[in-house]
Amino acid sequence: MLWINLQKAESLRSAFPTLKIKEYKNATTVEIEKEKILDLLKYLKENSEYSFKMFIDFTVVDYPLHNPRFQAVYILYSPEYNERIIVKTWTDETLPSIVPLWKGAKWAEREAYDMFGIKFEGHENLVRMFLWETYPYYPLRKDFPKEGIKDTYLPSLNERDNIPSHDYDPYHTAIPTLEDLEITERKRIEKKNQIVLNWGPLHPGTHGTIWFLFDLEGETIKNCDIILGQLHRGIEKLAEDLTYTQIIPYTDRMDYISALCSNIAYVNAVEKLLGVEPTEKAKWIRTMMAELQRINSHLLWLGTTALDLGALTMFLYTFREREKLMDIIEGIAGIRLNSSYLRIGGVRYDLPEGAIDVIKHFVKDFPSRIKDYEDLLTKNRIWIKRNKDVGVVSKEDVYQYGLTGIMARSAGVPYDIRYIQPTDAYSEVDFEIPLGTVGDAYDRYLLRMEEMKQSVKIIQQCIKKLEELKDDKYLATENPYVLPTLQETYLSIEAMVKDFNLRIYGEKAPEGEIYLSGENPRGELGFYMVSKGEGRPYRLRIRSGAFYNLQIFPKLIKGRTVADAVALLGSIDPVVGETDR
Amino acid sequence: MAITGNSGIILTTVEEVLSWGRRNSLWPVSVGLACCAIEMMHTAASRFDTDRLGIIFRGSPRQSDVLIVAGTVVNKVAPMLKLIYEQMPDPKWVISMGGCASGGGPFPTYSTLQGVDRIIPVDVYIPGCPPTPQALLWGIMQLQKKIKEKQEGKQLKEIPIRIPTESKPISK
Ligand code: SF4
Repeated sequence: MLWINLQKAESLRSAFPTLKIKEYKNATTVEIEKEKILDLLKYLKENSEYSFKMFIDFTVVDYPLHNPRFQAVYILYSPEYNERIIVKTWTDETLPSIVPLWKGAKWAEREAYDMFGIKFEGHENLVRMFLWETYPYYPLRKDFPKEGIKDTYLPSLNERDNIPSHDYDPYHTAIPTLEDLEITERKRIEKKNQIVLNWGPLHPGTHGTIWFLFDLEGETIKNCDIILGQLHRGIEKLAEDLTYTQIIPYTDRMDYISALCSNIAYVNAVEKLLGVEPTEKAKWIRTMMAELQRINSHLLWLGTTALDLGALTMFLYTFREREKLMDIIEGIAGIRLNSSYLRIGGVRYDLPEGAIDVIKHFVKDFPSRIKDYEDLLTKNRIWIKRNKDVGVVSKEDVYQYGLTGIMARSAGVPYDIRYIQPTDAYSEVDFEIPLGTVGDAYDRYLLRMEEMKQSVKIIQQCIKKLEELKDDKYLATENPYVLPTLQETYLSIEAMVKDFNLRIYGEKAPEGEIYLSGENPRGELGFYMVSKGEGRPYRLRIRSGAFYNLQIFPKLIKGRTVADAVALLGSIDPVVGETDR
Repeated sequence: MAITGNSGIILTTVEEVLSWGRRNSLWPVSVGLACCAIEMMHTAASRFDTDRLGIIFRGSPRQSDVLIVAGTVVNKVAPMLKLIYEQMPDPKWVISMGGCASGGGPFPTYSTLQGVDRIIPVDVYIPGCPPTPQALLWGIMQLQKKIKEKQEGKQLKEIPIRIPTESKPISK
């Protein structure tokens, strides 16, 4: 198990006698009063017996009836002992900032301030993370309605007077004015040099809607900050109102480039929480789909990054392969992009006839395509010049900022969830984890190419296994938490009742909490869930890999030119849907 | 348009030529907001290849005449999107792609704009989450039809467009 064991946690008491230790099935938590939290975190980080060096996540849970009201949750990881720990504390409004310990906490604290209104003492620039500066509410508090305060008359300009749509409301939540956005911008960055350049939010090169602010001296970037939230859709708030199955489609729409991988990370977490074991076949299907999706995602990365750096041909080539992959996914899951293919306890459909053949054909053909791409790029002089020595990350950065995925591995840290905490069939497949040596953008390019080859290898193993498991069940429907298949619902009354109950009341998860993550193409995608024994999660926190990876951008870009920003952003490969949620 | 015999002479009106030109060279701004933008990219890329329809994505709003709103418009980005729309030269059209842009989609939340038509007038709505590239092409063809019919004086079941009003808070 990846959690610190009870004994080791108990021995913390010698230094911190007031510690409260709790062990859940899937998480070990220690709780301490607010005054001592910094000491405890420091101790955990620096004591060589624990060495929880790596920052994973920080979040807040709101308990309106509890006094003090907010519970702060820190998740840490120890690379030496391969352990995780959750540290908690309670507060009413302020917390000490942990940025001196982990730089990666800066954005997480801004987010907590934005969503819950908690102030952080000693934070260098505490501004709102996602919403604009003049926004008056704290949306993730339990007493804030999910649909917001509709106080602005904002009717549809296309409205027909006589045919109102069924839930159409001319009143709407307030949208900011351009002045509001200017205030937001001013608060982030102070002009110290020649000019402050806005890059984004609606710029083709920013991979979505990220808004960069560069303080420029000539071409050189002296200072930089990033405004996120141009795609903040409130998924965490929505999730509190949905059953566990209903959340699955939202995980697609978070990281839409690797929808299946997000599905898998989420469903695995829920299954652990509920104690559901998926069938053997489902596990292999999931592994195969995840790897197909990983190739798909890396191809999009390759195409768009090359396009940003001027290589239009790559874009057309990779999209050709992507279309093939999309066809495969559409054939299996029914939808091209946001497929919502997973279900608790298995997958939505069995593999259709011929799916394996098509995939076989694809993996046979694909290595030669990779070779084409490599021929075009790896030794290409322009490509090397644009990418080499851009954005070098060190091992220390990885721990400080909580970098995961390719970012961590390019610095030589073997942090891969598929390896340190294998879910599904990953413990049974054979693959390698490529590591970088320099940690620059060029390394990350090489790693992604190598990862695609490894994915092909995994898919081949999955195909072999799936051919053996041809007639197995793909959904563990005997489990009380698993929705029956359509046929069963039509044919038996018990299945129909079960279906009805699960859909209306949700899966009544046992009380407890869980943090489980999956290896997304963009880093560790973790789900921290608090269940109160109801059919809906009390709080769902999404630990987004891209969010933490992007955080190092301002540090890496300082002293470089604007042209490097494009290459660096490409190599970090964030997806706004996931960073903003 | 009328072609007279084999003499190679075409009789037409200025209006007609303009409309013909407009509908066959729709240049959208390349603004991508969320998941739908990926499908928009697919429409422009290898298989579906919008270039053959004269559709070329432009980087600047000043060179374009169609705004494809592909993805979730959240409150924070709404004023900026409006700005882009206002920067486009006339005549201009708006395609709302996907559930989110058309009406909030799966996100009825505090931060999402419930339909982009609350800030800019929309010409064509494309359903789907996300719409497939085929659906986007269909939407573009609907727009072409609309441009054509307008020139011919036939209004395509026109949705009356209100005059944009300032958003104002209600007084309680
Ligand atoms: S309509 Fe669906 S696919 Fe399109 S942006 Fe919205 S959630 Fe994403």
